[in-house]
Amino acid sequence: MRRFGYLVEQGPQGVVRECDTATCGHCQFVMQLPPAPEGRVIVRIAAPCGMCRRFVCDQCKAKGGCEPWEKRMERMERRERLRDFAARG
Amino acid sequence: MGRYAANLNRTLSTTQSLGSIGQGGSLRRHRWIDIVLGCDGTPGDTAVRAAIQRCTALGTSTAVTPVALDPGDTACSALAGHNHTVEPTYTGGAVLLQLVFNQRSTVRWFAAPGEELVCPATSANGIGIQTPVAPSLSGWAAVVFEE
Repeated sequence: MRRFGYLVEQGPQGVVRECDTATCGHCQFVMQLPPAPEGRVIVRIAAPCGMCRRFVCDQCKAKGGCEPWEKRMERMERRERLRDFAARG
Repeated sequence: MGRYAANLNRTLSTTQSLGSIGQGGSLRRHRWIDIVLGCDGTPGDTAVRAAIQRCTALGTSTAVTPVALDPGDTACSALAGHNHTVEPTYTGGAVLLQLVFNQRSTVRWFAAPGEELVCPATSANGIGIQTPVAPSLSGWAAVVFEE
């Protein structure tokens, strides 16, 4: 199973660029990884989160803490269910 | 869980979205697996920047019917649309993917299993495709998603 996503740009003369991608485990930002060895770093991966062990982007790393996207979605969905329940009386 | 493909098309605009996919009647999470972006206007040499961003309202658009990749699947509940007359309400800072490419190029991104872009099952939540830098040419996006 692939660990990374994949991004490819195909121009008239063939492949212009291709790179692996990693999705931030906290905000889902897609980070484009540099092709080794001389590729330019487009977005740097900070490091895997110490808690959830998923790759996180620099911005989430700087915020600190660990709130995986899955947990955030569960919270949003729970809040909406409560709102609906309250609205129905 | 079924897979669906939606083809979004419009004359690219720096102020109007190329298209969006979001929650429909019954709320179900959907996951973007594969995105293909391109320009099918007269070949030129201009840059296109596409930003794929979360939104909390889908705006007003022409409906696109996503096609089930497995004909045995039921119709999807997600709503796809293009040619927005009212823009989606984008979530500030929630750009998930930025793609910069030449107008002559086609760019494709697909997610590793478990790394898809997921929309929560809350009303009107979705993802839209904007083109903050773009020539006034016909552009399209093919999105494969799962729900």
